[in-house]
Amino acid sequence: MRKSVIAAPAVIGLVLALAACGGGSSSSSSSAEAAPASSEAAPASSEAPATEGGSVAFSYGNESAGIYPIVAKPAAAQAESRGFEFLEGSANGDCDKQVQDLENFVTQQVSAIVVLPICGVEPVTPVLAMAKEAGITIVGYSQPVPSGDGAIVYQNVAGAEALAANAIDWYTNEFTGDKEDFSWVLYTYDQCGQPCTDRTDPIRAAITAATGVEPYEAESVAEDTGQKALETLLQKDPSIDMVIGINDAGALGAYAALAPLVKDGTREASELYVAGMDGQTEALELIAEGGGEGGIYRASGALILDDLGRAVADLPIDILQGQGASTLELPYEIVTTADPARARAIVDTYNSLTQ
Amino acid sequence: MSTTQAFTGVGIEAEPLRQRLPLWLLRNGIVVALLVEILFFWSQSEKFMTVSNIRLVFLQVAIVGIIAVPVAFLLMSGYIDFSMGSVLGFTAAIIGMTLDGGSSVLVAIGAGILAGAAVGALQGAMSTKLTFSPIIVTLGFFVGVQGLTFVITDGKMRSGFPEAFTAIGQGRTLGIPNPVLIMLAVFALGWIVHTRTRWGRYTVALGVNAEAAHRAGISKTRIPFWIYVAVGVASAVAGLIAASRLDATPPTLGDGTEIEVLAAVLLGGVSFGGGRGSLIGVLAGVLFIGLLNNGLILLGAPPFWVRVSSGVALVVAAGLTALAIYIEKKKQGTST
Amino acid sequence: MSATPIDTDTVADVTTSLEVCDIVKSFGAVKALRGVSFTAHAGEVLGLLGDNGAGKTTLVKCLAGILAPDSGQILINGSRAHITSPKASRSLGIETVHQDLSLIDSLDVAGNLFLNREEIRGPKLLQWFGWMNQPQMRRDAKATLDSLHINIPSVRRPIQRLSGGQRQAVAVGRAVAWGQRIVIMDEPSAALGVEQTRLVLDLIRQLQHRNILVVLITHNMQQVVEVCTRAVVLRHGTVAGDIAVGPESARDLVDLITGAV
Repeated sequence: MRKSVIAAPAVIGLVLALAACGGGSSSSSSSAEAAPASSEAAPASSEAPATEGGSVAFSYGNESAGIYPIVAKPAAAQAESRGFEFLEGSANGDCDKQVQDLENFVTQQVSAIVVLPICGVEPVTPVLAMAKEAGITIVGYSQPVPSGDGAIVYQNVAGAEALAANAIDWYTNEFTGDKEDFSWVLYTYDQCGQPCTDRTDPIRAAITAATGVEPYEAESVAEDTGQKALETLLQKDPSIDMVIGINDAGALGAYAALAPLVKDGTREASELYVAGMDGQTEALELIAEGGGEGGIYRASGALILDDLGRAVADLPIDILQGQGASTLELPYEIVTTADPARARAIVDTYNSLTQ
Repeated sequence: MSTTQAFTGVGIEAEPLRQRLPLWLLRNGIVVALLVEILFFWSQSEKFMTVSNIRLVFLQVAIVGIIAVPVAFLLMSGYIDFSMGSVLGFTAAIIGMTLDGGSSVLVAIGAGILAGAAVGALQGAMSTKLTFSPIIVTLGFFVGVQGLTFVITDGKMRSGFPEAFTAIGQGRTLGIPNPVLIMLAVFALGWIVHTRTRWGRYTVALGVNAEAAHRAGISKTRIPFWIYVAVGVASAVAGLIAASRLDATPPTLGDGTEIEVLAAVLLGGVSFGGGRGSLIGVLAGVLFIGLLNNGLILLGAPPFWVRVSSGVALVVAAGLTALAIYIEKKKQGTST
Repeated sequence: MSATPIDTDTVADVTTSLEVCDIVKSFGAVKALRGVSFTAHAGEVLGLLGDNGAGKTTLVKCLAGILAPDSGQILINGSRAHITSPKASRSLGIETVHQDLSLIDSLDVAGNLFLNREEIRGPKLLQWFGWMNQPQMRRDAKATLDSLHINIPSVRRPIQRLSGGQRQAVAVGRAVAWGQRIVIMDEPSAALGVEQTRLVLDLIRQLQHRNILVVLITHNMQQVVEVCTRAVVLRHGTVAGDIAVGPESARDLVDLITGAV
């Protein structure tokens, strides 16, 4: 009953952060060769890079994923604006193909490579060593890589703490139910290891400390499992007040379980708080519209993907030009129903990039 | 061999219950396991045996149960399918996009079911008439159809469907959730077809001894082809229910469903390689997994235990089936 | 569809003739049949004899629609029979008892007797649903087996719970019950004891009286002499001899089979 995490653009943050644990299943979308995203991407085997500015090559490994253009287009624009050519891989979820992409980049003598190792670091270690020897700057995407000169990572812990703070703020100031009777749910996904526990541990710790109540826990990173898990937990405790998902997809499932109860008056909207992490488009859309039924989908800890895209160009170029730090920690932004316009703006940006 | 005695006429009665029951229980060990499971959770949690919880478990297993019926036939006939989850997601996506485009609920449902039937027919034709390896064909569809779902949806979820649509999955008739009624109807139909019609008989015959069935004039490909179509249609109905219940069609919908379905069917005593199995066992298998997930959450077991115990249950089921076959063989040996 | 199995007393109203004309069948480089021809008529019991590998079973499979001959023709009552499938063979009135019996182990005796000939319930419009009339089939199965004097504990016992001899009896009984023109038996008494062998030979005589052509494959010369009226001997895929069988034929037949003449 494994969830093919990486195949789901719905699980944005996980896709980005958990390549190492979900890599094997990424081939599930490899057949989507004709995805719109890669159609205008410069093929990896195109002509040699412009000598004056140099070139940045990006191997995302799963170029047919729906979110890819949201990252790749801003990256390409940023590289261009700084006088660099931007090259893209076309592995589409295939481990061997990603190594080939990287070999091509080395042969073309690109200036820098940014790589998300979709099948873990082992398969790409030799080719990255070769690239290093050829004097190419190497940046890991979502995790540090061997021979790397730098890495783009996410502030998972800080982001989780910020989301927990928002939840606690709601509990303290807006929750209208009986605080003695407060109960909450945390969706986890332990099989992916640290990148996941970096999200769930701080949330569990902070909210437990603030409310004095330990969460019910269930495993979910998808809408349907999130719905089923909450339905079952509501049998155990019909007065659950809060659900925090390790990602938005699971939280959206919890929302689907609660929305009918709010609608038919079984539950009071002011006693309910649902939130997830990632900044998945559907979650942001819901927040932009006021949080859905009764406004209960209140927040998402969002990675701003176009910022991430710009970093894909900026970090290697900064390293090449000898400026700035070698590691870029991308922050999460807590997007809430208090500022639906912000959610709308992000969604609009994403939509314009995927058009 | 001891037929030297005088001819006395052929019996027409079934063997006495006391001879058949042990064999039936051996083959349907899952029914006993299900009872034990229910008693266990009942003794451990007072929330377990409540009307609303049992109703919920039936509701939650409806999707797996609906697909499990034709898949049981498929295994009985000696074939296999791994693509049900992908087809579920694909048909749900088609329904979601059709509704999103402003079509009526009936048109959307029709489009989804037609798509499911078409995918089933394609796999069926390849696996039976064209004699491709069913394992490879359906694994290919498992991957390919999932990819296709992302292509047609652009990876985007559709949501906010008309009430007439969400009522299918969320509504109740006579107090029973509609998906449960649909599942029970599918099981009843499956049971009738399996035990009362020639088609069920031919399915079993093909699985037990395809050559003998062929020599009796039964086509080796015709029935399995239509079972593949039925699996596609059932996956579409399950996709329709999932989309209606969620009021959304995420492109990942249905991920992992194929494993749950196969686990339930195998737990139910249907074996790979064909022939064996009953629909009652399959229903018990479906409920066993549903109650396991439900009960462990109610007990507050750590999430990974749900997966560990599903795995253990499956391995135990495989052992039970092997034991049943062993004991039957032994009995047979002594009777000749 | 002929709805019920025979009334084992009726005599076939047509006189059947079977003509096998120059049948050739190869498996790769191996020529199993190199142009086999013979003619047989209803009322005869034709022994089809030959050593192992002579081509007997291949010829049976051609008549049963399991194998298609490379060339040659099969004529029934003078007109060409296109036996392209087991179904076609059955609908021409040919029944075959295969060496491996071809029963479905998990089905009961009645289910096997009526396999692909189930009695269907309900109005014409619902026939496609295939709802079987099982009580009727059981009664008919019992009546048929009783009339053939085949001794089985119950028509509801699954084949897998029968002895080898009982299984053989069911397979033979099925062919005898449904045979309309031609019944082919490939080693029907292989697993049988003395008493049951007697039963099979009785059944063959019954068929003969019903004016049905029987083609019997066996290695047992005593049986041949006892029931066969004529014998065709195959050797290396060709007809080595085609002789009338009398009480004194055993010796000649063995010579033909082994190639001593």
